[in-house]
Amino acid sequence: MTDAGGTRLWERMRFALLVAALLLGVHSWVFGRWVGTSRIFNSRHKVLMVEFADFEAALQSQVRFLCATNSVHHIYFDQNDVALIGILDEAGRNPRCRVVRESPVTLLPADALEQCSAVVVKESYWSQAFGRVELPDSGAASSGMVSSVSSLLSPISRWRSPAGDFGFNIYRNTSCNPLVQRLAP
Amino acid sequence: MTNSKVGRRNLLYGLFLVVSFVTVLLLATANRGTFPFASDDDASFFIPAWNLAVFGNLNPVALNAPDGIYWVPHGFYVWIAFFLRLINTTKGVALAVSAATIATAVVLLLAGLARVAYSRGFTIACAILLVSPPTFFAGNTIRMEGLIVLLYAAAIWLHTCKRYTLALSMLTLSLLVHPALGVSLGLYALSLTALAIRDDSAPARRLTGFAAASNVVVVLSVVLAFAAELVLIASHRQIFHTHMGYQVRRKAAFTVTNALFNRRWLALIAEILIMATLAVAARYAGVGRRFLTEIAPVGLMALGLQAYAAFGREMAYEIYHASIVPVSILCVAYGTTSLILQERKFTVAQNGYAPTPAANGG
Repeated sequence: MTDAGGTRLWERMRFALLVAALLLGVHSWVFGRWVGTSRIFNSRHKVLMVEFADFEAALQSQVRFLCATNSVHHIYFDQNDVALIGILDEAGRNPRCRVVRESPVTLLPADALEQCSAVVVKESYWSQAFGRVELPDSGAASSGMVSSVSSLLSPISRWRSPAGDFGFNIYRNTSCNPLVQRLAP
Repeated sequence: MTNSKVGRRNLLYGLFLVVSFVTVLLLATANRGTFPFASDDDASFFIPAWNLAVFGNLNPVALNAPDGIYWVPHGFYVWIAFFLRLINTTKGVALAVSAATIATAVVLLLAGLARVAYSRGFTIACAILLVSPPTFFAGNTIRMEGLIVLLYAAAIWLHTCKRYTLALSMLTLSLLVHPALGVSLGLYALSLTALAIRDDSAPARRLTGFAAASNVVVVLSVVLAFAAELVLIASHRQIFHTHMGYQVRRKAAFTVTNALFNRRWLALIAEILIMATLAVAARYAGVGRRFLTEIAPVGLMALGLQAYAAFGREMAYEIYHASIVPVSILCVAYGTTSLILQERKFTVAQNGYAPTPAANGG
């Protein structure tokens, strides 16, 4: 190969790298739009954001209420919870009761969930990894953390967002006395 | 080139970096909550940081971990807690910090890789790959990927400034955040050691004054941070073993079949082949030494990160596989071709023939 030919080859190589960078960039925008079940520039972004804000507000008001009853001292969340961190700054400082969420390495003991001073929150929402995370429609919470005590727990409160994208159920041991006041809707 | 032209080019590139920063920040924020959807993973990292910011300890009772949580190092909690304490202890602040971290990382990476590629124009073309959905995704999660990319970008920038000790410190520091850059650290350290043995004048440089002092301060800080983490682990050995056992079991679900049909492993193999080809081409073209000193360590860092992304297989590592590593390898390849071209043109102008390894001692 002549010197000029070799130089031209490397110049072409640089041009090819430039084209490759642009093509990879386009690929990243076309195929990277979806990660798991979520999509960039979701057409329902505004609606979902409003619903999520309502979801957090409803949960916050329920937690406030439960803590104010003086009969609930522990509010437990399972590993699938997504709303607690939105209300933690208030709920985590409440001296009357404690919010506790399990993690894959800090599982909650089943007997703690059966206490009459405890309630369990389970949420439904859109998850990036699993798509729709649903709640059991009625009866006991039958999956995740509470599966081992499902027969003892029954829902005492339910909340759904207007479009049904988010919601939560609050469960309590069936044998415990009813809470003093009726739960807020 | 005249000084005014250089100044104008610097200004334009600076403007481009500012635009990149703002674009990442705006597009991440515009997709917050839906790309990704609210993640159950965020709580695992936000709650310990919040606990540290509010109660000043690493025992997050709200995460049912009154004796601490040891499934990842504590560096990320400290990073987020610092901003929570500084601004406000809310989820919104943590998400904003995540987005700002990844935006800063993108800017630093673009600046560092422009030096690796010896071309700002090429790096501008690569920006489409960096300012892209996987980056916004990482910016919208309260996870450590943004901080890891920031430390990776800092290491590359420092390497291009010939501050090898600081680059090594950044990679070492990253182990206190997440082990994602562990392989990169090993490969980078090996490459520096090999170069030091091969030629004791490169890459080590004698530093004086502020540069030497900054080296000492940074290295000491990293050593102290490591010591603190080790003391914490040693005093909670039983919990550490239990929590880490979960991580090991989770990551160990790896099989050869998985690897063969996993696009991240295939990408890693392709990137290793590209690096090997570049090394041979650089040697043949007589720029082996400059390739090994200036470019190859960056390529090795990228390969290490890709290896972790392939091994880890988590959705959150998509930013490494789809954005950070491809951009780094592209810039490494472009830089190598630039070096080769530069050498060919120089030698042809001087001697009238193209360089060979024998002629250049490469």
